[in-house]
Amino acid sequence: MVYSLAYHSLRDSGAAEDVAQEVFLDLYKKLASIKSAAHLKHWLRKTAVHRTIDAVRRRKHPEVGLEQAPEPAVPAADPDPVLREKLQELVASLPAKPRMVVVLRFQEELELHEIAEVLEMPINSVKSSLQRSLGILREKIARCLGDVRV
Amino acid sequence: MKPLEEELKSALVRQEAPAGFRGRLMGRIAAEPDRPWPRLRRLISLIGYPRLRWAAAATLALLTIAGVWAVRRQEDRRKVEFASSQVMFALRFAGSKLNLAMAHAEAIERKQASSESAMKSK
Repeated sequence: MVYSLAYHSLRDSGAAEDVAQEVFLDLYKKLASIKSAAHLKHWLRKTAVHRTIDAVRRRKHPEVGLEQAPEPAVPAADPDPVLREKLQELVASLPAKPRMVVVLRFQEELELHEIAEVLEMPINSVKSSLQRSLGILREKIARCLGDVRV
Repeated sequence: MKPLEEELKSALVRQEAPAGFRGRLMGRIAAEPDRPWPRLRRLISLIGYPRLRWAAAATLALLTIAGVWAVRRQEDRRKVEFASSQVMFALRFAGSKLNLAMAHAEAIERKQASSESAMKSK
């Protein structure tokens, strides 16, 4: 979960591993304060999310807005792997928080109120952020896949 | 074609950490310096929270005031006890002197009375 959250946001296995290691080192230092398995899962998710957002914001290259993202090449014969790859790229080009909302919703399959709690955001902001991100992703992916319906 | 939400679930499927992740993590944990007095450090780290910092400062101030008040009260009580013991000593001393003087006066009176009665009989 920890590595994967970082990886889908950073799209860089080295950077994702750094984030994951920092999270587990932090856990090692604060192990005494963990009260249960549920608390551990919640703590790991929250810490991983916030460290990943920090890492995204620290990165030198600016986030590429979806509008500026380059159009993909013509899809290969089997569209699914290409589509997935492109979706991963497009998700990773979203700003830090909307990106994490999408990752938490579709990787972790969290409900909106759970995402709001993890990200310390109002639930309406989570809902609107997700809808906006999905709209942009849908538009972009439809444009780049041409006649393929998404 | 699946809807976008389904495609996102497939695209964002959980990734396993790369091989050797656990070993590298254990190496970093082993390289962590020992932390002496973890409880004390934890207590100190709690002071990092602003509300707890204010609460700790207020408690410390109250304890200091209570401590000073208790010490002063103890000193006052000691002074009162010393003074009362001095008064008692003085009173006892004065009482014994008075008894002595009264006995002396009584002896003189008895002597005078006996000499007067001897004169009368002559």
